[in-house]
Amino acid sequence: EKSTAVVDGASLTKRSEEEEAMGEQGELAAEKHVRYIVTAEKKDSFESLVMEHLRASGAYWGLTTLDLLHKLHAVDAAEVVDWIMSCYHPESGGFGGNVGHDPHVLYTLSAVQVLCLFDRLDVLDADKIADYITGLQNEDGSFSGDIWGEVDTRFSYISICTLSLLHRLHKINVEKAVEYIVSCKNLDGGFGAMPGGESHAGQIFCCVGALAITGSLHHIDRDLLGWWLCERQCRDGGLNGRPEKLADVCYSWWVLSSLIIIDRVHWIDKEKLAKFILNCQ
Amino acid sequence: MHFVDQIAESNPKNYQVWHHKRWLAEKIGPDAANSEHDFTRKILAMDAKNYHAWSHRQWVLQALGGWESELQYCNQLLEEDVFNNSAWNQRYLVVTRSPILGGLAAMRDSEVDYTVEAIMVNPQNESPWRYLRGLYKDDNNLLVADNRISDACLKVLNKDWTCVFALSFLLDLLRMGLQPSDELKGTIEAMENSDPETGHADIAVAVCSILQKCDPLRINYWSWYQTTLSS
Repeated sequence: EKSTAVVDGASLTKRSEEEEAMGEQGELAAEKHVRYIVTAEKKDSFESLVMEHLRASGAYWGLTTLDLLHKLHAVDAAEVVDWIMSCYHPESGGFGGNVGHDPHVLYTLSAVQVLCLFDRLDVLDADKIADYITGLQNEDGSFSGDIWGEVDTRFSYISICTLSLLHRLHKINVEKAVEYIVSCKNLDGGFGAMPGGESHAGQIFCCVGALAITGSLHHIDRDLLGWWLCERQCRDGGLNGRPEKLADVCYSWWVLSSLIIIDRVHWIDKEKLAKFILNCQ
Repeated sequence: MHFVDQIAESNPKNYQVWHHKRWLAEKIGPDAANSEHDFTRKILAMDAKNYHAWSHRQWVLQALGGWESELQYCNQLLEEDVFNNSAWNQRYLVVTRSPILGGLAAMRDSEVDYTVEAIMVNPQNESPWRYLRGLYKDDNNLLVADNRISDACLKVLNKDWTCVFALSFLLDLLRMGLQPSDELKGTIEAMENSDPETGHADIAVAVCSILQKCDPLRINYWSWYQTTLSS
């Protein structure tokens, strides 16, 4: 298995103006995060092994972080693209989470996202990938994660997002897809994994994101959902995923993104959230 | 299924194993209902908010049956932890979709009593307040007319005037057209008097202003809410 990253010493030590500023606040340790990401590839660690099946998604999370920190050049683009493509299954049009792993929409989205980061969508057979996803849409508009049939609103978002990135959203039944997502809307304004499922920030992100991409945000009561989302902020400034649960830094993404999409992010205390996140460093 | 259950028990948050259980249960059919309920009950006994277990349990109910004891199960879980939002969500599913309970309209009355009681025991609990709203779904007029609810808000505020959930619910009721009783007006005035800065003719605006002070984390939300109180 090829390495997905090459450590570029010069890039790591050079700091941009932005980084200098953050460093002066004594807060985000950007350099350390970059170093952590590019050296995370420890093939013989237990953690690496148990996460082997989702390496494609791990690649996306790490690489998108590098990109946000303006350090994407710290990795060898060609090597990354090659490795991603080695996860591709030409017969089905889907990507597996690692070389030799079965295809699934989870890793298909991650692969497409990584290729977008490097502006290399040209290496893809976009129609084939679109067909893979289209084939996974069910009659009720929902999407399965793979041929084994698991259904979850996560897969609705993933499918819609992937096709949108490939400019092939029209290949699915968008109306039915939206209908299914709306059927998962609860009275608190939130969304669950399936109809009747408890509102959960992660599922909400998926549903809100999918509705946004398909131009269907009018199905959302922004004030009601915005309130549910801002109620996720706990006294420690962090965000939880459901009522009466503890804050977790991952919800900073799910909740925050959702709030931004529905234009209600000003309803949370941003400063306190930032402090919470930095405390998780 | 026995084999898969062993794996699921040690990996209760793994998506694939739950999906496999569902795939198997589908093949076994209604005979699997009892054992699937027993299994999810076992997992929920270890973590009463395990999302996967709840999803599976909901699927089993709707695909294979077993509704008879579900409301009682929710009672039990809420007795153990009244803050369990998953149990409140399940309760809503049972009350609205159980084929043997008669539906929301039939259940509403007893459910309001149940929920108000839960609120009185622990007013600082987000779930039952949301559940109350759910019971009245799209019928704001019925909600406003149910005295038990405005009374509950009043009782809670008399004990603790900073209870944000009660203030927020009261605000919603006022915006929906609740005509505040003299007692309610008196309580709000008393809250305002503890903070001489405020003093509003409009009671809803007064509550909004109190909320901005009691829930500073969401001050922007309450400020916005105030702008919606035009008349």
